[in-house]
Amino acid sequence: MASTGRKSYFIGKVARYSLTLFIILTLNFLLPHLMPGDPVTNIFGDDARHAGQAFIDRLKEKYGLNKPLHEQYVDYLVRVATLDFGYSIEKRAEVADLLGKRVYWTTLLMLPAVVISTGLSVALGALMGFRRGSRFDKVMTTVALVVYSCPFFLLSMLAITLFSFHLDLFPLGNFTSGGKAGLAYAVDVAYHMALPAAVLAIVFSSYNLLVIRNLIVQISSEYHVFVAKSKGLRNWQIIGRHLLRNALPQILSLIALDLGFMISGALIVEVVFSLNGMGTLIYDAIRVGDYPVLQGAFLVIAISVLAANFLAEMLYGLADPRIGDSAGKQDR
Amino acid sequence: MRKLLGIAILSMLIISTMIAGCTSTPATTDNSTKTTDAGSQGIKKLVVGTTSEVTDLNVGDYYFLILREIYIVPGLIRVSENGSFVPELAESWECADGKRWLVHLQKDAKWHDGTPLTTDDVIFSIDYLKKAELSPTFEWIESMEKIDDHTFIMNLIKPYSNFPTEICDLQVIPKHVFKDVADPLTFNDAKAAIGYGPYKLGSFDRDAGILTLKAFDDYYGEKPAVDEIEFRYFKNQDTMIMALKKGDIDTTYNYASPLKYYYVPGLMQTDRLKIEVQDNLGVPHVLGFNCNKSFPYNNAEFRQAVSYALNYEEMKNLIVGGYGETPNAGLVPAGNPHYAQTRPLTQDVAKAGAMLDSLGIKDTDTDGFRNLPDGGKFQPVITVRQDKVDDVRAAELVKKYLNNVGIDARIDIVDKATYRKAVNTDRSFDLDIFSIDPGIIILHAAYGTWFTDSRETGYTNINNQSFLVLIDEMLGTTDESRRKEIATVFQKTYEADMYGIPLVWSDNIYAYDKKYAGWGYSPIWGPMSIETITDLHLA
Repeated sequence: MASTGRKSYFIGKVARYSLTLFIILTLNFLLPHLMPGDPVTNIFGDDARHAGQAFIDRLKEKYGLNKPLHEQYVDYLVRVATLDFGYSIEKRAEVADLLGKRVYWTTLLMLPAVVISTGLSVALGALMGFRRGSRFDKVMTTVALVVYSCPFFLLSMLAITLFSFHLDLFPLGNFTSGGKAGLAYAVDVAYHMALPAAVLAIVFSSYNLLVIRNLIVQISSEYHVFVAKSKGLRNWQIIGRHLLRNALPQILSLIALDLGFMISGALIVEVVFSLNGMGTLIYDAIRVGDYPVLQGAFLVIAISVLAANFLAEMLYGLADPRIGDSAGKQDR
Repeated sequence: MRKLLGIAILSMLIISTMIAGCTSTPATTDNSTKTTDAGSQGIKKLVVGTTSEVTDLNVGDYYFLILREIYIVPGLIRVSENGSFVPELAESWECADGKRWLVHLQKDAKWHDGTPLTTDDVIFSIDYLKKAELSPTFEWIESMEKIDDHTFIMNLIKPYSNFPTEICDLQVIPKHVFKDVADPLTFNDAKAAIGYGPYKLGSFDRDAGILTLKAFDDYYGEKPAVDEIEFRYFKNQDTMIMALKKGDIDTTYNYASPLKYYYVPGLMQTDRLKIEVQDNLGVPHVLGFNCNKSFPYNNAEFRQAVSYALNYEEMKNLIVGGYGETPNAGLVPAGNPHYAQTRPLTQDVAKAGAMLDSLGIKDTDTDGFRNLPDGGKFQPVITVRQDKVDDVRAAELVKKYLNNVGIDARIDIVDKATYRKAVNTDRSFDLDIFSIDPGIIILHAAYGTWFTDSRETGYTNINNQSFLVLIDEMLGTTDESRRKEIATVFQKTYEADMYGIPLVWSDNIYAYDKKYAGWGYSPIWGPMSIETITDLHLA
């Protein structure tokens, strides 16, 4: 029964996410056609107004803009499936190429930040929640609130000013110093990423650990925790087996959100540390009306958020044994 | 509770200390790879910081175009330090009627890959780039005639005596590379960087944000004193200034956008840096009127009234931090050739009010703001680009001054495309804020006419036929004394008719490592000019 319930849970989720993806793709296609104004400008961006007519005609031919709408839709779905997101006149490049490079570097920056912040948040948040009211809890809560309230730009500039400028511990920006290969290149990239990733990890942690702390406080008040303490279990056993285990579904949701939106980059950090990531790509595209890039970025981020949430829901289903039971009961 | 408060205060103190520590001396960097051999006057590497990031090695990339124009393909002619036209790829040129230009190329010019440069490359470039619609310069050229491998004639569609300003921008491209390229705008390749100038492309590492240029040994002109120029890209000026203070870079450069004044105090505290201030031969902020619109925008007295409403002293202090002067009337700052003295612009609120009253622009509905003579609301809109933050600031100040004389001015902050549409395409704006770069003030018939000729652009959208006739005469005449007379008439017309009001004349601020001397300043390119790279040496 439980396995049947779990199976229907997973199938239901797959169906729901597939439908959501289809709706997003369709909206993404329809948007430039529904916007007021010249459709060519809506599709190719404001630079289309100043590009040569011959060039525009070639682009229209390539992307089938002279065909009926339903044929364009089918072509669009085929192009998306083959990762062809159009052409950016502003950047003079295929959108897929632009996104590919930026997603790569953004992932390299954000993934360590998300992983580190997750580890920090879970560890510190659990301790804070378990020791609610203690000096440690008060100090960490204050620090987290101060960091969370601090403008992101200020934090980034403070970090680069102190650690790169005054102490000369880190470089002032970019992904690498150039001229390196192999292991030396990898180490150089890690060295350049360390400070911006650390800033991001601290900022993400400041929010997440407060959420986790409050979760743990809530769960700590439940009867099974009282029983665990009465049994004489050690603190780390209570935290690991009873508190975190029960908070796992919500923690997975938090991580999923962070991972999903990771692809959208961090504009402020990218500007301060001179990193060409998704944040600056999107910002530049907004500034100049580069709609192909915006549409491509929107799709990539939407798919990323969907995928992360889908993964979280799958893990949710595995982590919470009650899910199979409740779904099974509904089937009877 | 008290403990919590104490922790919060301690945290704030720590953060404040860190902020205060930002003004102290940084750890310095010893970049010995970019210093020279002891006793040598040549410089191995000059490291330049910039926020003008090259996206790709493409002839259509704006910032790569700038670098190409200065170092890689410096045009047939260039503008020297003193503002005169000097030979570059063109050894000499002649024109008797402004229409038929005979040009002699440098006979020993070579492409960076060793291929000889000939007339065929020039003719190919003009035809190819014209079809690609990459430059308005080529619209002037009706036909080309090849005389020999190093001589040709350009026939223009009509006389244009100021054509040398256009062919400064004329970037010749290698025929042997581009003849196989169907679309130059999609050609992102190192071969797009092949030129004939004093520097060739060394490397471009996008992830490291570094583009290097190396001196070209077979350059036909004077050999550069700098073997290699390394451009390092930053996404914000603050980080770039930190790199300058640390010694990671020797100087900074952004075309038509020198250092902001608020960096100067911090830079002055760094002993190894020197600050230089040069006159800006352009106008950083101009309030333009749509002179072809209905009353009152088409009325010279109204525009004069507005000029008396503005506080130029305050704008000088707030926009450029005092690094500049209050302007004179007209669109041509002092220092430009054939500069004609016009009246200094001053604020006279009473006079502005009286002039507006005399035009019938009075507050008839007693809401505190003036109405049009027919009683209708008068709410002029100042259109300004959102990406030009100083223009936005200037617009805010102008709005304040206009409000003070009873004009209910509004501001419309728009993106670049919307601005272009409103100002140059639809010409639907009321007032606009624009800037006149030193490189553009000399274009067209010079003296800012590219901005005032409504057949070219709409920044002031003038509908003054006699003025346009004068522009055509300036374009057609090669008589220098007549050109000087017309230049004076232009400037006096600007003074009388006030098509645009300059808000401030600014200085250009540059900072560089004191260990180098011999910086030249091109009126168009600033310190990163050919004069600099030939004259730079250890101090």
